[in-house]
Amino acid sequence: MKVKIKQNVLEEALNKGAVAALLDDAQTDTSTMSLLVKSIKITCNKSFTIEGCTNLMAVKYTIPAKEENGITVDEEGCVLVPAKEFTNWVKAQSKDAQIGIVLSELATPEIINPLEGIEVEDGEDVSIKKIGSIKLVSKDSSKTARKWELDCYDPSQRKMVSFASEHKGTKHFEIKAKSLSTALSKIAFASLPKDYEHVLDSVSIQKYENDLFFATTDTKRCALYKIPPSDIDAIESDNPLLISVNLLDTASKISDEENKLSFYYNEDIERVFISQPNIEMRLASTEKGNIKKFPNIKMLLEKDYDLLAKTSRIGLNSDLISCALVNSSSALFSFTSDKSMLVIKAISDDSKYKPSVTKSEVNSLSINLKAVWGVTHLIDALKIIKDDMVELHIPDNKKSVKIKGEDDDGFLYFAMAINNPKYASDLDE
Amino acid sequence: MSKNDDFSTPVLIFGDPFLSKNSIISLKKNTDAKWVIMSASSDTLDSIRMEAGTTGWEDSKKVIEINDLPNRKNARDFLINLVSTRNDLIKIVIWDSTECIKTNPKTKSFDKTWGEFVKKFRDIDGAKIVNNGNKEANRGDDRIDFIKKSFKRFKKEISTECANLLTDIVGLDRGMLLSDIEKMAITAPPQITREFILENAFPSSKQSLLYNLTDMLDSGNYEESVYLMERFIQSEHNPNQLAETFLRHVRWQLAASYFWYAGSPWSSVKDKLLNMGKFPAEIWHDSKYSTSQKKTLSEKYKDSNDMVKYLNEKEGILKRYFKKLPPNKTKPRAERLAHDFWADKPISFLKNKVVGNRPSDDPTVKRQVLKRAISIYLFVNEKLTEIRYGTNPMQDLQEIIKAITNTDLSRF
Repeated sequence: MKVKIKQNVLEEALNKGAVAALLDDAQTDTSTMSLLVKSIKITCNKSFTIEGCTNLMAVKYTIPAKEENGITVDEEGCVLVPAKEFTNWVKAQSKDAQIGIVLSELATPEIINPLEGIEVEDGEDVSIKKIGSIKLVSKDSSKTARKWELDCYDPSQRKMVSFASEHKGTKHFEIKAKSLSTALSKIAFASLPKDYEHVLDSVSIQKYENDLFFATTDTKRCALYKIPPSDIDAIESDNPLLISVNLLDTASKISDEENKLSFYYNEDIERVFISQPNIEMRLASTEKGNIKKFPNIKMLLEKDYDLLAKTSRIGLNSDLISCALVNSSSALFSFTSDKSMLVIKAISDDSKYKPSVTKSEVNSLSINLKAVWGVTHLIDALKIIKDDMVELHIPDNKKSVKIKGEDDDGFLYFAMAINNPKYASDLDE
Repeated sequence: MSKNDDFSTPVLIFGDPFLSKNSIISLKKNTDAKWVIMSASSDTLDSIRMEAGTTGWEDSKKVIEINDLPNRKNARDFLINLVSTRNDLIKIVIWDSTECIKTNPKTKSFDKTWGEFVKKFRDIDGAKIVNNGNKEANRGDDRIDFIKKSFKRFKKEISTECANLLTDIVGLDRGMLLSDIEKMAITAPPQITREFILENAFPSSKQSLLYNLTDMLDSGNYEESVYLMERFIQSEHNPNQLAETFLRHVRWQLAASYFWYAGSPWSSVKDKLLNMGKFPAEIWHDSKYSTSQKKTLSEKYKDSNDMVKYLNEKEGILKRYFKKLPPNKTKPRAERLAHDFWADKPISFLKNKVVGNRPSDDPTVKRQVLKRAISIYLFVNEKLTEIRYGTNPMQDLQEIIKAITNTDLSRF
């Protein structure tokens, strides 16, 4: 293998193609063959391809090997190299450098046995075949040159994920890549950092009528984002998808914002495939049996919520921040219609602070209401809404509150009311 | 299939952490509700209140486990207030994971502060208290009762005498006792006998103690080894006994290092180790005999009179040099490896952890391996003396473990 490639092209290729092998999941792998898990496969022929995979994520990035793309292939080939070391070296080179990669093959491959001295069962192959090293040379305009060498292994030892259409399963939908990043930026906060069933740390993608919604919940609140219909090409399945927020975020970061993303789901292997012209990704999905544990958004969208009040986003945010100093978890919200007044009272269980009370004016207030809501729950929603005015809606049973901006930007937020006996006497008044 | 999640609530669990964890697991097994864990020390009381005051979408059920209880009055008052509020959808389990709630071994009563808390908790309608005992309560009759009750769960009976014997062998740690009882109950007769205990009790008999501890040392993990050592000390093992175990362990490593240094390949070091301490050496160290031949030939020298005869006739040692011991005095015996696989341990440790990827035919490496073994043996020997006559055995034991788990050859 012999190839010359511009540093910025190679760095971008690694930022995308090597992302799976650079995940903690791969880098902290302690299995016998971890050396291979931490490696990426580089293939040079008519295309320049970088691919890596773990059980959670697999990525394949391909660009045509043409001079106008900054790639010149002098000799075709394929190698497996350690992802982290290779990426770090490439990133350390100057942006205008030209990087030469040449495979120097050993006459006889060297067998590395990670289990040397430990008896293994017959037929179990635990050897890693080192086929040589890749010699790296980086030259930039200042004629500075840097050289390095990295061991490389037999690529046939690492089976990469196939992105052939028969492996991808059913096509679900196609959306603009920008919509995915927007959706995640708006709803990721309402998920839990970790859930052992991977329900509450995941994004649920559900179809409701002809719209596509991205949703997260930690059971106490739920954030929804409706993908603008103009950003959707086709919704071909009614079944919901459930994908880890972190994995989807990584996929969003490496996808090309200008292009569309096609989502497929292979039910047999419980994996979601995401495709773009140059990049193919496979992400682990939540177990089939657990997908239904995520609430159906229909329940929220079809529930009747009546407008309670409209208020200034900045004013409400300031009041909430004051209350959060006393109790960030819950506060009593008292709406008085004849005075168009909202009083927020926070009492703490920690007995360190005196109760905090703030008063503010609200618009369009139709009824009197007293309810206990999570202070941070509301602050989190106000960070996402960009409109000057926010609307608070409540259902008949008053068990939750719906918050949205005055203009419909697709973001909807629901928070459960809290039962806190500390406020019982205030509620009774 | 839906599970029966009708355990009464609130629940307060305290006492032995191992058993308490088991209590939590059995509660978890009996519920389909979402299990949320909160810490009364690091989570704010307000956030616990919020969690306990919020049901999920579709009014789903939830269990909130509150652990890490701080020794603070406002936290105690808060917890009592929290559990006093009934909610059909939310169950609360309080686990004293930091063992704040202790009983006085003499009076068998709680200390005043937490006793008040337990009393208030008990008064709450529907409250359930799971007392798993604690280390102070491990002494005396409670410990025997615990063993008897644990066996009874498996429909086995054990006498007080046998229960005492079990604690002598296993120690006083309830977690270790229960772990042993669960294993023994599988094969035990309905009435546990003294012989059964002697044959099957595991962790802290000298041989198994050696195996357990040295297995951890051979992993080269200092933190885990120190943790295990502390666990043995907590279950009332003598530091001196542990230090002797460590010394014996490094002595086997020294022997294996020497054989390797002297030119034996790793494959034959094992036989050499297994033959050590066996009499007569002339037979056991003769490579022309097979193991079974060695066994047959040495059979006739088992008796002490025959040993003397052998040493007199074959080795020329005069009879007057032998002294007859009083009948009850224990004969000193050379140390031997009890099982084949014990010989693999020092070899595997030296080969994989100490030598690692270094060239195995390099004389410098061989010299370093032997030097390491000698230095560590002398160091542990010195520490053993300090433990016997010194004042800080824990520090000495930690230093021993630090030395034994040191596999950096460049320092020797």
